[in-house]
Amino acid sequence: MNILARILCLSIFSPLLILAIHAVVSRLFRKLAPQLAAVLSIGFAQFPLIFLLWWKVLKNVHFSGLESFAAVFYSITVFLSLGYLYFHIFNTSETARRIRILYEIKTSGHLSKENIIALYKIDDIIEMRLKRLVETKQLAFNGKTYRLDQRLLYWAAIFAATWRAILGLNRDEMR
Amino acid sequence: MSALFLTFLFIPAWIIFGLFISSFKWNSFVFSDFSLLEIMAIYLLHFALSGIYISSYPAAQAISPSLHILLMCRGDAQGGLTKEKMLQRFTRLHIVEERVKDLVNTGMVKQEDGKFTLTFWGNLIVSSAILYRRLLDLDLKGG
Repeated sequence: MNILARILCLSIFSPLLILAIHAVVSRLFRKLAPQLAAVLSIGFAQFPLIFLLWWKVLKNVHFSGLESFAAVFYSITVFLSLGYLYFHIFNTSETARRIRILYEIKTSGHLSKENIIALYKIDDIIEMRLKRLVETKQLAFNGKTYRLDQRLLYWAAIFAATWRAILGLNRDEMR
Repeated sequence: MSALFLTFLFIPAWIIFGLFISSFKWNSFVFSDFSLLEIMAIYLLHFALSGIYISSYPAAQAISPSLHILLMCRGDAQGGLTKEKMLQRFTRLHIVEERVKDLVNTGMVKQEDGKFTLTFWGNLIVSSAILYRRLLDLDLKGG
């Protein structure tokens, strides 16, 4: 098989490998926070992908230094980008209100606006998110108050707010 | 969101593959030195990087309660923030009604006689999500 065809196959195959590993991880580590399980699965998947890249592409072909660098750089960029995309697809299934609303409408057949609003007690929504943020160590809870803990998602929040400002989207939707 | 798919995925695909096909038909110089596999590799890289932008866009477009909670805690970094103080900042409009509006605007849900039902696309999306979660041995949750 052509070298480029092998790189393409490996790249297109990478999300399926992540899914397979994630299916195992989510069954074996049920107490792990779901987002952490997804991130670990994406991380674990990089090892066999890089091994296959070396074994099936780099090992038997006489690339110059620049060509090898280009092949590796291209492949890793695509693997990680598709991994990031996978994480967002998983996180959407885990946390998105729109998915929950679609699911409730599918289950019931049809819902009125009042039915949909009744699904969401604001207290429950915030409680769920606080629990998730504490589990993933983005917030620390001392029994009474919440404080910032690790800052990964916090910097994502800053980035999202900045992006929102650049796009000129309504900044003052929340009171 | 559909504008993003059109702008970043579909239009570039038409352009790239259209130019490739035209290089055969009209002997144009654009892409004439590239094989189909090379064109596919170019498009895959573009697709992957565009996917980053498209999948991250909802964090900017829709109010995410989680990200908003983190920004609230920044202001009270020393004392911390109670749950009650956080609840004062959220309204049902922003949590629920805006999301229902999004679903109607993107054609996932339609409203008839005051009731919301799924469209074909809405049904496809949620059925795919259910199947995906089953593969992971997880229940479909959503937020």
